[in-house]
Amino acid sequence: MNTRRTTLLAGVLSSLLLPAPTQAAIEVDGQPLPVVDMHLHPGNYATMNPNGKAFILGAVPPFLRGHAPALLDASLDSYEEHMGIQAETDAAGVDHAVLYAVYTHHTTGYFSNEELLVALDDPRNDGWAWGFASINLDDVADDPAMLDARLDAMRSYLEVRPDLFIGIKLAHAHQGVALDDEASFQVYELAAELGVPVLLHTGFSPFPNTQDQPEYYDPGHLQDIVTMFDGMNGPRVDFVFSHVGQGDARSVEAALMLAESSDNVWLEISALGRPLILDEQGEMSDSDEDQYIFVLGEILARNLVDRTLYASDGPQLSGFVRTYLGEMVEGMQQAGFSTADIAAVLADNFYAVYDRAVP
Amino acid sequence: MLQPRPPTPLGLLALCLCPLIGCSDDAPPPASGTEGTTSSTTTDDPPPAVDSTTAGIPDPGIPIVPGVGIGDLMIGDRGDRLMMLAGEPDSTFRFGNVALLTFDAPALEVLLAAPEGQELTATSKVLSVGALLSDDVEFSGPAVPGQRQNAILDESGPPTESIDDADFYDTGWSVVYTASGFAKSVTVFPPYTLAADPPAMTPISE
Repeated sequence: MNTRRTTLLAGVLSSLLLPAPTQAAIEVDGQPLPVVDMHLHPGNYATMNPNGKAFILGAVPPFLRGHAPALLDASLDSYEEHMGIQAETDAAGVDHAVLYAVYTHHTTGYFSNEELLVALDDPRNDGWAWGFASINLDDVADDPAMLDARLDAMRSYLEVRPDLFIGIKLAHAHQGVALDDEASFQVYELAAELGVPVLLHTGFSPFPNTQDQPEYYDPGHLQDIVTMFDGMNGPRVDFVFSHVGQGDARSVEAALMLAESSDNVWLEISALGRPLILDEQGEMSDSDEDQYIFVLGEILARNLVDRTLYASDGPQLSGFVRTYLGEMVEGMQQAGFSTADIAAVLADNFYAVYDRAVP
Repeated sequence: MLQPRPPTPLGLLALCLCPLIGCSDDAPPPASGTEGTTSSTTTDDPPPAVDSTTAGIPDPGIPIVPGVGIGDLMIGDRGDRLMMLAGEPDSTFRFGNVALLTFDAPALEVLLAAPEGQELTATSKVLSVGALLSDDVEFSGPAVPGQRQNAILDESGPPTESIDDADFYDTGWSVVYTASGFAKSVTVFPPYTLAADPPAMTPISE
């Protein structure tokens, strides 16, 4: 499976090497549409996980390898000239971005809430980006005091700067914690108290050390939690399933089904430009079709357009933010989305669920 | 492999401006590939007016300075200055707003952040600079192209990180090796400090 994942990422990265014109505007059927890319990762070369770093470098052209620290630092910087995240979203025609704090140091690396605050509070932000706070879930299972302290720390960003911090991000498969873990439950309770949505990584990840058992990535394991926080039996939390459970047909189906049955579930469509890894029986899939083709078709067929949110999971390498946006718009058109549907996915639905974000 | 030879135009410029990038008493020791050469330039030295080799002064080679630059070309320089120093690139590899430019004569490759078509203008920015193996250009520094891996390790110690065929040093340089263990390129970039584990989570400062 690792070999295949490497191949898949290499394919994704190879597609970035095509020349890409800049300053594209998003125009669909002659109508300019605002875009929010709600999944972007700032970072630093120095704080990337060594295995994750090696994985990424294994997929870039070998002649760039010696330049890796400079290349990755510039790519992951929010404001680097020409190729930082803001420059990439500008070039893509993206109006607003959401930047993530992450504590995924066992797989990809980390970007702390403190670092995210610095990026968001930068004068160059000027309304361009909001952020999701996160929490380090290491070693908290047997240490309630540590969990409380970390929850309080995360809470402070959401309480003190609601203009910048608009939600919470968790990545269970990267953090090595099950979706319905007790520590996670306390995060959901905090989200309910503060009225902020929780975005959850769902589905596989190609990075080494990522947990690949269903309890870490299959949103079907969130059924009870989703019901518990549906607002009818207690406090409400909006859950955003990032990647729609990608990689495993069973978790994709679980994400779609939960969105159909629960109005507090949202589907975020980043990282779908790759084929399935496991099919409906949990066997290796022989499909070579990018998953967004199936997923977008099902979203339309199941009347879930108003629950779908655009995101890229960038910046990856320069050009990706723009390329992925183009792929998804074209994919939605081919699936039969109307222009109004596409507008909803690209921005309108985001503002419906993230009410702290004011365009 | 690295025999004394007349300096290239970029090499001469580098010698002239050596003090600007610390190529004197503070400079890294010459690499084994440039054995027998020493830096005779200090901050008080006048710029050489003639070919230093023919004047009997050993050519120290174009200095590779970790975290700073190679020769006269600095990290953070603009494309127009690169053009002035190295001329037009012999090849360009682009993806998005990133370009890797290769200059055969000075045996350099330069990673640039630049919008398409603006590689060599005042808007583009040098992110890192690599020295390439060449029969015509000599470098000096903690490692030089063509040098054996074991010699580099003897002089500089173990790298901060090794990934595939590349060794990275957190003082701002890397070496990519051939399969037979020779340095294929030596690249400089900003220094960094590895920090694998996140700091303790702290509340926001109000």
